[in-house]
Amino acid sequence: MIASCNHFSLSGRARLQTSVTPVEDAQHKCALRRSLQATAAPQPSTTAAGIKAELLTSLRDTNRGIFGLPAAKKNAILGLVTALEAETPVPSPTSCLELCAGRWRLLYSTITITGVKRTKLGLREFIRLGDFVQEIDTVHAEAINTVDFNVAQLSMVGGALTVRAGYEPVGPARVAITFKDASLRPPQLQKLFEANYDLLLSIFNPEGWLDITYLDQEHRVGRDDKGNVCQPSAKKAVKSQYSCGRSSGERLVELVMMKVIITRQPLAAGHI
Amino acid sequence: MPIQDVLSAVVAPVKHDMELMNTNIKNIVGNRHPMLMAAAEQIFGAGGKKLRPVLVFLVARATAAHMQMRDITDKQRRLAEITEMIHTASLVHDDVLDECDTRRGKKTINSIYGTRVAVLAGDFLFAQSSWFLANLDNLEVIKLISQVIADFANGEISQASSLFDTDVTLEQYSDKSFYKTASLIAASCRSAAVFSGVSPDIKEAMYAYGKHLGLAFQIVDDILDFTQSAEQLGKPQGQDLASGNLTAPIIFALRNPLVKEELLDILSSEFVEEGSLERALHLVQLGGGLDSARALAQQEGETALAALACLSDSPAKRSLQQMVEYVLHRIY
Repeated sequence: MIASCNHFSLSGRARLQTSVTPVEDAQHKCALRRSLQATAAPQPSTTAAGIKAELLTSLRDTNRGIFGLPAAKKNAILGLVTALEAETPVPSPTSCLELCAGRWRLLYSTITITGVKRTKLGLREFIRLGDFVQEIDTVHAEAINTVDFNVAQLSMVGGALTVRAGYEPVGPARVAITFKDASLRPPQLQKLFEANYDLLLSIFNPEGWLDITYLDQEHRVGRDDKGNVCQPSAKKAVKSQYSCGRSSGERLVELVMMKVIITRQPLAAGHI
Repeated sequence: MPIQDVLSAVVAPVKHDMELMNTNIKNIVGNRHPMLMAAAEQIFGAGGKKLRPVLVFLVARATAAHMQMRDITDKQRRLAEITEMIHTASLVHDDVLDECDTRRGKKTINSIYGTRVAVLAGDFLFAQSSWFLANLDNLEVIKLISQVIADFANGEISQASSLFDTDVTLEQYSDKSFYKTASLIAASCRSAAVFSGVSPDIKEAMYAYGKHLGLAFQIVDDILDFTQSAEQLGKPQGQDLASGNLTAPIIFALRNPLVKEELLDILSSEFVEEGSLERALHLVQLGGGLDSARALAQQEGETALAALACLSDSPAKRSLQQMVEYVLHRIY
């Protein structure tokens, strides 16, 4: 595992020595392990850092894009994401998936909840969407996705939808994701969403493939391919989301995630 | 005949009744709470056409004539006041919710006195009208009118829970329009007939008249939201559509394959693209939505007219007939 991980560095650091004594070998491996843990994830290049800064600025006040953005804005974001992906310091992330371990917070996605879907889920006035958080457990190969809700009542009932999924590497950058289970807490939220639970799950179901197209110590980008057979009409610039649910044939859903560093200082105001 | 003249002709048989009511209703509010007197002036002063109490008086006079009564009763006068108070209470609250500064060219209660006074004034009107209603001592009328207040709430809630729902049917739209608008008119017309002591089928006919006139009225309003400019409407064009409230014109247009796909797209994106609202308004026109809505309004008007057949002729009855023409005139 350690041996395969030294491919992540572009500059080709940390080559293993080929002929060593058993003791030296053990010592060397220990030192290597410690140095890997110290630099637990790769740094972005200067170019990547620059693109990232621009991307993060453009994501300000977009509310994860969840309630829709004008086409021009979406394309601008997509352009920056694509440029960033070209600079990924980790081209084969599935060979060292432990770099993905930990807590991630969603910054942007092409998943949207608009129109009647938004109305049915009460997301106009009654319920506010909180953070979308993903906990990746590399020991059990599981991702636990949590969507926080706040119900605008006097008691400010807070709750969450938790979707558990398993993942399995199927390529250098691709994992296959299988839905395991979902739960909604507290019970009051279950009642609220009862009539539209299937709709809720269809939006947040991660089943399918995910390519990890960018990865560094702080940020991660993923693209998935949700198979719904519906071709977007050729003439339109804006994809038809109504009749298709999710468009397919293209990798439409992008996730820009940020690693949540739990022990450091709290997220600053104005943070995305 | 120019339309103001039509309205004058319609109101003529009940002009004096309306003058008495206007004076009285301001006193009802002001005597109880002097502070509200200024608000009462704002609320009940000149401005609206007060079609609802006009209708109550007209039905009262038409049914009284039919029963060969000398004059209308005090209870019918009080009913007209109750109807106007309930209607006004809902407007006062609507202006708070929609954060409106002006209504019919005048400043709203909430913009002059603040939200608190506006909410309390609306509550007072609802409560006072309920009390007057109970004192009419007629269970049938009490039930009819009390139902209306529940219907108002149901209408607003059902509207909020179906925003941007492009599967909405014409029947659901009609139900919602009934709760929002036609319910009060239907109930008050029927109640006016009750106090003239008419037979059940005439009471039923007056209810039908009020219901279909009310529906025509709402459809006309919905058409105007599409067709009138900002200056004419006193608010931006297409506000119903922009907020996802899908009314007759767009429900019809969505049936037309020529414009359906593009409209569905724009609606599901909630007009996020610049110029998409204007494009949607244009598509509704192109798809024949406005024409179909006009036809529907016309049809409702004709149903209302038919309901008047059972009444013997009188100036008030002729006014009720002309009222249909008046309600429909703005869509042409």
